[in-house]
Amino acid sequence: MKMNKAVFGLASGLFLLTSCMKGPEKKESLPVLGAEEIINENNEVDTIYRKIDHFKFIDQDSNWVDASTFSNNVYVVDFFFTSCPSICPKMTKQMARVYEEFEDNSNVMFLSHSIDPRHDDVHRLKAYADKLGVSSDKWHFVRGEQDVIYEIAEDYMVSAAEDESAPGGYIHSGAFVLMDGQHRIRGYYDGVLPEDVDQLMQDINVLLKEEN
Amino acid sequence: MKLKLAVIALSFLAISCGPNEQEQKRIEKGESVMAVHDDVMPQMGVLTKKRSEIKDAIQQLKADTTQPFDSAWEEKAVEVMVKLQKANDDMMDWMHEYRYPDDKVSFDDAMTYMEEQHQAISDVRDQTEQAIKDADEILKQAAEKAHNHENE
Repeated sequence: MKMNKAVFGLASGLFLLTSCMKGPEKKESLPVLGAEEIINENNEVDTIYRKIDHFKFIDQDSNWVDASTFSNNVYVVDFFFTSCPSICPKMTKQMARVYEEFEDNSNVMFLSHSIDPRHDDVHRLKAYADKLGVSSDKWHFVRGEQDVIYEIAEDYMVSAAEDESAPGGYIHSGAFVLMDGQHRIRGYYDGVLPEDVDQLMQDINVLLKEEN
Repeated sequence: MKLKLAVIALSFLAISCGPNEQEQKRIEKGESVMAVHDDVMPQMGVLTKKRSEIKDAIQQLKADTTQPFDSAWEEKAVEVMVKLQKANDDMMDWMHEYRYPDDKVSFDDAMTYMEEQHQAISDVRDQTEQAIKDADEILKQAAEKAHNHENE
């Protein structure tokens, strides 16, 4: 783990260095992540892509939110909780920056899961969203049973860098996950690094072109 | 005259250094509290993961009708699950309640508060580490039970 961390640190350091020099990379297209190979009925190898479309949570307006809420839109997913004293405020600040950038584009949405359902009731989520001044049609702050939230976090993070899929690492890794209109994973970004979030904004534009 | 100047200079130094030094101490104390928090935080996912692993292990052993189910072991396993959940909840409660004391709080009160909080979060850390240790032991026992059965 220590070694992993060192490698990860070195890698992110290098990444930071290169991204600082270049700025966000302009891409033609984004890969679909979470590919799984299966053997189909004709005994051929088929590639299917992980879709995360099996959820139903309550948002800050007490409305149900499920995959169809986000269908045919580009959306960014993260995990947070309102009383988090360390990295969440940084993540939220970065996410708010993405929100502002795409505020007028109805095809970009946000989905933030609270991992603290005991404290983060609808009322608290609402207050949190209001404080940020964001629209509930666009940015859904959701709550659900703790185990269900953790399970879905694992679904999202499963194909993230190995360091993040280490037990316990994913839930508080500060990652933003970029999803397409078919609920497929298209990118991972470190939500506390402004450079990474710049890349996310760039990549959202690439996906928007693809969706149209 | 020189002495007077020196006294003035010294007291000026004392006044100007005093609050800065205190400010520095306050910041450092706050950082030491958060350092313990940062140690525990990555373990939170482990708590939930282990709990669901134990839940699965109990169900699997229960479903196996070819060997008698060890209900004394189940009792212990459930106890560990409760411990894991409690560590998770205590961590969440701590984060929910902890506030870095702002400037309105006197230096002494701030230091006392943060010392208490340092102790509280250290207790949560110990509790978390113990719960994970106990969970590993229970899961090891579950694996042995399943394995013994396979070898029969």
